Amino acid sequence: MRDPRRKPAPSAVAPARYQVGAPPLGALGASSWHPAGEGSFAAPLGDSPQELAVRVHEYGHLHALRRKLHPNKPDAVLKELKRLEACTPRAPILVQAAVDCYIHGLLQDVGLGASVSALPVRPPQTEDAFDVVRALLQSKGTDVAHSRLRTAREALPTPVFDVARRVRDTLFRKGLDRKRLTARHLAHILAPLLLLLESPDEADQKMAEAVSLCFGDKGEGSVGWGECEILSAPLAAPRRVRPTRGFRSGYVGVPVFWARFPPAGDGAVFRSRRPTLGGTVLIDVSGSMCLTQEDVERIVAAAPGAVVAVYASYSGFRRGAVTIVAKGGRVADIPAALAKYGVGNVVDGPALEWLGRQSGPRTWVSDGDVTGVGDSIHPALYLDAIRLCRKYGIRRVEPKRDDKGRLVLEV
Amino acid sequence: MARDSCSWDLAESAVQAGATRLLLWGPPGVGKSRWALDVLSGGRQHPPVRVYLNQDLTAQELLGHWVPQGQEFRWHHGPVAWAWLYGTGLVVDEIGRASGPVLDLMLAVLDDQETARLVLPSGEEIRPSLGFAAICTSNNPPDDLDPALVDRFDVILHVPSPHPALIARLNGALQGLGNVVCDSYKDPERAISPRRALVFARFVKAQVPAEAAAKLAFGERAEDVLAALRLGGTRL
Repeated sequence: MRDPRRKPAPSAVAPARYQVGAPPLGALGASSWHPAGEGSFAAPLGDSPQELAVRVHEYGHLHALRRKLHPNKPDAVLKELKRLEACTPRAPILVQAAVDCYIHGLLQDVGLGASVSALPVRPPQTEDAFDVVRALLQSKGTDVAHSRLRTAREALPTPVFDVARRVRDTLFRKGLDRKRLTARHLAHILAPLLLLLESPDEADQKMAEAVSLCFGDKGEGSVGWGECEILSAPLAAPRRVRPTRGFRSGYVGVPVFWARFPPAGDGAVFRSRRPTLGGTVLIDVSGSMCLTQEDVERIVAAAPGAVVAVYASYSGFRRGAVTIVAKGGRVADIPAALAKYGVGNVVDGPALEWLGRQSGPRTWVSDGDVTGVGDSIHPALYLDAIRLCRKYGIRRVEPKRDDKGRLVLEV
Repeated sequence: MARDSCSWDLAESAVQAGATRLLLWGPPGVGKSRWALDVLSGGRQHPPVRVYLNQDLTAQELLGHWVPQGQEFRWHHGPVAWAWLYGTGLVVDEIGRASGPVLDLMLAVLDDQETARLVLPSGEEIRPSLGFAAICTSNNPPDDLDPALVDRFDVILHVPSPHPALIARLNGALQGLGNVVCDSYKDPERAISPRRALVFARFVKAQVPAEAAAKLAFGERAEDVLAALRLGGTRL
């Protein structure tokens, strides 16, 4: 063949007139297709198995674009990830790797698995967890899949590795089954992985792991939060709001800091107490938390000056309530406030929304398990909880117990 | 005169509307000549006459010439004169490759029904009989032809993609093959030839392994075309 550019057959996969050329710098190949316009097909045009594998991979993308099997542009996925508070600067790389993984499943289904197995997937930089995950996703279905898996197992923390492998298998299976991969679904699959990779926060990790456990069986349906009421128990008893021990220099109070006297100093010679830390604490009092009345009272006592509220389900598993049990210098009858609650969570989302509207700092005392109507678990609910935490700057604190069984809060 | 891209449906309607001088141009293998033969076979006593033009073909071969018979010469009608006289269809392939004198002859052959006439070297004057129609084919656009010749066509059609009947035939030979071939013509530079595709289907039916059949039929493009066929749903 005189002109190698006439060799590929992208129009036979997705009909259009194509600009065929060399792959862009730093990429193995690239392709685009639009039913009404021109397409582009940039891939190596040689005869080696590696070059053919790149072309077959690009054919897979074109086929998926034509059949609308995967999102046309990463923008839609990134937008969805943004909504889930999981869009990080390097998210587009992982989105592309995820789509590649899906394509390999699809190619396997049509009998092109052998052709794409020689794809030269770039080896990862083992010190970069993100790059390791990228290679893990892209290598599925290729000859280097096992070695990339081994690298990932050695280089990644166990929870990250578990979630990454689950994401990889989910995407590959979807391709194999030729199931449509929408931007929304792809974002939901990737969100926990991105959160794990970008956030070293333990609390988020636990929730992301919980999301990953729900892949496959519960990833498709939809479950909503229960109906939530905001109640206020009578704040009858006085509450000891202890002053803080810290002092600060300023322009009011007792003159102490003479060294700051002008003209040599800044004039802040007066000493005053730091204001008592306010903020809001929301306590999950569902069954999984195993909190006693004393535990709640201990938390209330440990947060002087803060608004403290409890929440859980009540009257079955369709509704729940947030009850303010301490505010300002008054505290409610806690045993009476807790008496009406059931064992389910049901309203974690609305309760976090309420917490988001309160003054900061905002603390959520919870084991990280969230449920919706019917006390059912669903990845979307976990992601919504993570999203709310990120949106409102809510810090989750997991209660632990010491050797004597006393509640310990690592604030 | 429709000189832009158009579909096969438009060609059918032109014939039904009474067009008798057509020029079809488009890539090779899309079924231009096949369609012309089919169209000109209908409603006529004699099957259509088909001529392949090339640089070596002379005007005498088309029109007629003297042939020795015993002690004398006898006039022998060429295919064009025959088509005129008997009112049959005339399929002229590769009109763009004809020599100058042949193209000059075609000026007379494709002239209007009412005014067209030729005086043969035998002294006989012939006119196109009722029923005469000519369909010319070419792989190149008509821009290279003499404007006077171009002007003689009732219709000039660009057929950029294979005829639906050809696609159906390919699909019948191998499920999905026709659709993939048809799609490939959106990019004419990289189209998959229907002839090659038919050869491929024939080999596959003869139990030749798909990879080997593709190598035989498509040569260097075998793997690429095979991948496209598999993604297009062709069962191999």
